[in-house]
Amino acid sequence: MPDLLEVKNLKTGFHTENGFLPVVHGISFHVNQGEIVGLVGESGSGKSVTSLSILRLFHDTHGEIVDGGILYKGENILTFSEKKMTKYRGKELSMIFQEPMTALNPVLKIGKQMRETIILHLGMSKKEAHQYAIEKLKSVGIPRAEQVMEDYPHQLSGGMRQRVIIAMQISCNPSLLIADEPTTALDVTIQAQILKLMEEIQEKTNMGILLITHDLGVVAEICDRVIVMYAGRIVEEATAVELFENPKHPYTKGLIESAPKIGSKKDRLNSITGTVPNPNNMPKGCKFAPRCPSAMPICHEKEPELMADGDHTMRCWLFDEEVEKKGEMQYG
Amino acid sequence: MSNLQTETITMEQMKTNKDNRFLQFWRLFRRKKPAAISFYFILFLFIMMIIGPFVTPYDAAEPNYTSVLETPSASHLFGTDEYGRDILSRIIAGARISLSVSFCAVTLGAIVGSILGLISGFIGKRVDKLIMRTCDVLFAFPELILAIGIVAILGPGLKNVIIAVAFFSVPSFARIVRGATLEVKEMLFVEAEESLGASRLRIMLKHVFPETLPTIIVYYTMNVGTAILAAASLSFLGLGAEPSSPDWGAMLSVSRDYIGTAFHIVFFPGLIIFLTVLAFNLLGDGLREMLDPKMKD
Repeated sequence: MPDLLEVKNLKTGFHTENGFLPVVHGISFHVNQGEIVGLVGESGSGKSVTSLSILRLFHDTHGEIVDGGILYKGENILTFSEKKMTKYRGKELSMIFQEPMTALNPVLKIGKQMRETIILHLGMSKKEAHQYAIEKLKSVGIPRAEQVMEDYPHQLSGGMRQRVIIAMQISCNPSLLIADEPTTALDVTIQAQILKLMEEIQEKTNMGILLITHDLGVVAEICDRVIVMYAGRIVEEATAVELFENPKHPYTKGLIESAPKIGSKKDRLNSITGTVPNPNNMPKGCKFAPRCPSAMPICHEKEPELMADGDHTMRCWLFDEEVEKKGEMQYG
Repeated sequence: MSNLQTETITMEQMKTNKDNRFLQFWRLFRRKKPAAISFYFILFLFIMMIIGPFVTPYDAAEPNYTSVLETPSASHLFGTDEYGRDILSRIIAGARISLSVSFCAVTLGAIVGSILGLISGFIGKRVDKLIMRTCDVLFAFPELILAIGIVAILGPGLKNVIIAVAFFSVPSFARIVRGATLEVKEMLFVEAEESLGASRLRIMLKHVFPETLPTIIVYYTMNVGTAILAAASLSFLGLGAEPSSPDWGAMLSVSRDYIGTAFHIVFFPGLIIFLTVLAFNLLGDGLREMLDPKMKD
């Protein structure tokens, strides 16, 4: 059986006044049925562009997928007509957005917005859709769902709105849910509730979830596998447990160290110096080298390939056997 | 059984929600004095439009050569014109012509302009460029000159005045609706709707268009004022209503020869045009304060 989602050598970029600007540089990964995969990286590392690519939501931007394939249940969705893609969105692939405040139409009642998708994809009558929507709202833990159906988005709190959005996005039982920083705009207690809710839904429906976040706490909480992105490339991929216990790439280490820990006596948080390089002006060699504490001469010269160590892959010269040997010869 | 109960509750709630929103709107609106007064004035004009012929003291078209160019008095509140016709009666009768011409024109212009603006803003790219550059060309002509040109081509008459006035309000509606569309289109919920599988057409009509409605309503109201003025100007120039008809512009046109001897027959039609245009503009301003999200805070 093919993977639920397989992204192969995806290259996406934007057409700008100064020509084409690549943002995602040939990334490959997969999401299995019933798996929660975390996609982690700083702002500007191409996470959101990756998720938009999977749903092909580039209408009003100048974005374009220039190479690669996105296989959903073995079918390449990049070859789909726009009409077919429209049928897939919401029904097969769904997406939760970062801002629950603006992801709902402010002038339509919740009920109307919920029914719209259900009627469209499941072909129910208005009455059936109404009942079905109420059930779905209840299933994401919304009390008094009947009243909420008659509310406008501004009458709900942020956490409630995100629940409504989740209910809406899972209402047609998609097999893959992409969650683009679903908890970033929420406060901490609500964050935990929403994550728990997503975990529950995943267990119940066995859907695959691609969770995009910059918050390693969120990853540790619910992800099975983690992909770390930097400057439009995958720099490390491992199971969540492995990644936290044994991070390999200096960038991943930096990310983990820069998260605050309870009980630590340091008065200052570690941070990774510098910022993500501008896509217009990428460094030669490893893109992380200018910020890397353990950069070697080769890092500034040549970009490393992804190297595998069992299930754990990373893109770093530190783990290249030949470089290791050379290093030993030079310094040993 | 429980299903039935929830159904009734929601239906009731729907009703109260709607009532509340309307009442709330009305209560806030009434506080805006100029807009509220304008609203009542326009309402009054509309009532006159409908019941006018039944309440006017004299027949608007009936000449009476015993009382020519009479100054305002108890029997003729606004005086009489050169044929002895009661000016008040003629103004009331003229409300029908002037208001219906301008409303038809603006409605036509608003429909065409909004559709073009929506398409232009939503689809963008070449379609947008084509529509907007065409609008720019139309904007390059002074509005009245454009209208005169169209009437000159189509021939004088009220129907053609409607077309002419509608024609020059199309580009401004198109531009304003395009702006609103661009703004709404960028909002996240549009992308969210798309991620749920809504088609482009559906998003345009069901999600983007309703958001531009407040802008359209405000602009519509303000444009009625402009249209009244334009229709009156065309009639004044002899390109619209027939000179003998009680259209406000035509009345001004005919009576301008008497401006030195009988001031009132120019003054009252002019005054009513002025008040009506002012009322529509003030109402539009008031509505904008209420409806425009940018002015809310």
